[in-house]
Amino acid sequence: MSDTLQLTQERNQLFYDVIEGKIPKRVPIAVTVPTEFAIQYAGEDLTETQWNNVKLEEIFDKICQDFVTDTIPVKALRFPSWYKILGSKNWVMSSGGFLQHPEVEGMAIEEYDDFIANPYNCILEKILPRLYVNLDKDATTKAMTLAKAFKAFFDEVGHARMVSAKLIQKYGYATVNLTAGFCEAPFDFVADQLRGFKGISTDVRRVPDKVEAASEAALPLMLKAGIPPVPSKYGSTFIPLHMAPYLRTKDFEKLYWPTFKKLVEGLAEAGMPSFLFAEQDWMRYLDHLEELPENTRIMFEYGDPKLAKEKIGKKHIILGFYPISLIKTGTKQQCLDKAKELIDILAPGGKYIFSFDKSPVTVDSINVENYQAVLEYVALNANY
Amino acid sequence: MGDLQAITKAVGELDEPKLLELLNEFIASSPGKKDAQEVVAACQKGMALVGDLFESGEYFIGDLIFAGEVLTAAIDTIKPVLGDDETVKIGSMVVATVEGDLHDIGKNIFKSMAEAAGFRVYDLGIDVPPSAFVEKVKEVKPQIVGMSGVLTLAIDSMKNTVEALREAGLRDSVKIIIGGNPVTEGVCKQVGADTYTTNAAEGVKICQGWVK
Amino acid sequence: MKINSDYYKTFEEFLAAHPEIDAKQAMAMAPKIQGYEDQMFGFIMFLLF
Repeated sequence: MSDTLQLTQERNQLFYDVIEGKIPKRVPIAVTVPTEFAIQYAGEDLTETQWNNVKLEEIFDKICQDFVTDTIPVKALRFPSWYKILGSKNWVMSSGGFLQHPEVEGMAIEEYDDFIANPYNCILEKILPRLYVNLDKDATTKAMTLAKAFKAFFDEVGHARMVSAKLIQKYGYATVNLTAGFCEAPFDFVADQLRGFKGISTDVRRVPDKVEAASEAALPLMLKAGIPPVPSKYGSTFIPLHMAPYLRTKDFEKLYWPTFKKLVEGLAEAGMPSFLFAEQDWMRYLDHLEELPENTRIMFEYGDPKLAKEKIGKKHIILGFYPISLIKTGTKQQCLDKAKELIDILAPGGKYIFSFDKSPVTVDSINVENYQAVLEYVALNANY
Repeated sequence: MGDLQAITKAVGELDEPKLLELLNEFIASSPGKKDAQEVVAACQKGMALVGDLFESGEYFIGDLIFAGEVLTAAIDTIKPVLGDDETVKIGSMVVATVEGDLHDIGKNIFKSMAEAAGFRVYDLGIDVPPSAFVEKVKEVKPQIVGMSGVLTLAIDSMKNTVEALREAGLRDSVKIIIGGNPVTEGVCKQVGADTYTTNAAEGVKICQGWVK
Repeated sequence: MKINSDYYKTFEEFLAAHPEIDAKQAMAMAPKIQGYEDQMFGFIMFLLF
């Protein structure tokens, strides 16, 4: 067997063991940087490279060369092409060449009833043309625009997938796919692009019944979106969680939690575990997380790792908690000490995968030497 | 004459139906402009309560945002009586999300709380270059400049903005506060700001202290 | 998984609208036709994520 195939098998075994509740040989590392970071790291131009994907493979390859991880260390998600073709208002390139999501309101408060009655109809008829202005045209132009945008999407995503597959083979990364699927909690879906942060915060107070009904209406769409063609218990559907920490607990329990729980349970029933990114601070909600199907992967941004391990560490797989900001501001020793501290808290008993609390967007948001040092440290010093 | 205490309480409790009921009762009593200004002051007191409840952990960010909307609705309700006269402003500030960054929720929360506290706020929006800050500061001569950013690249932009103000000879005429996820004491020093905050309520308190 | 909408059709619904398609053709085209419908759904939803 070739070396890289052997490496892949070994790395896969680490994840299989964690997922099956066994103690792996060592703590597996699942850490990624986004496309923009990789482009900057390679010294290439952000705008040029996000449009012209010819150099993507060599750019991603540099990340693979320099950073020790068990799954592929770079993840492409969005490219500007289809957003520009569609005239996107919700995914916009900043002056610096970074695609960002400004606050938008894709759905007016008066449209709740339409959405609740038939969400997919409402999305195609009202919401998309509002968020993507080039879809707010006559039927013929709209059809041509959508066709071009889909072609761009298919090409870019296909190319990025092909590059990833090549690199996974070249470097012997694990083939488990933590982001095999992607969707959102129904409440977050209604919040993010439809009502906006401001809109949903007021809706929760002024029209909570509609928020509840809209989340229920969105649930089947989230389930369908989140199940990939070939479900696998070793993969997971990535769900970034947004609004919960900004809500009062009683609003969370009535409006956010029920449909979110149904989503995770529905995905599990379809054979797809969930990989939750518990953004901000979810310590208030640990008891709720404990109710989710066993082996949910949960990456925490802020909070108390000891508390999390104690409350949910036996049932679920924990990631995160390592502050990426320390990689920028700390000394190398401080960074390594932090890694040791977290491994000592989170690794015992298994069900732990190493990651930072979030991905760095730009190269200057970290100290590269510290980043490399921590990854090497975890690779060598987290043996069971 | 409005029931000022009840108004403050309703704002503090974010009880919008109760507040609007009280305000409509107030309007129906044919009040004068001065009465209306007292009602505005009562609302502002209520907003200060909201800020306190946020700092004590009872209210969350969603509540702060809602509070801003409630205050807007309240002022709109009594506008007919308030007339065109402005309420007394305690100071003015220029705020914006800095160049390269498109995030503005935190800035908007800060802005609505600052307005509630009596500041006139000039909001330049998002992805704002240093030159735009300089132009506006020259034009309106505020006491305070607020810079916001969520991405780490915002830190460089904040630094550049402070530099630009210095080069234009405006640095000493303003106090500068920075806000957002990545800001820390270290960042504050690096950027050359006067202070920093990751908490809108705290930030507004600092600004109030500056204009006393 | 079926989505209840004017803009999502299962293959069965597609066939019902095309009586000219015979059984052999239907069997050959089913995975692709259903696949494209689902890919389009995935794309549309991703635009809102």
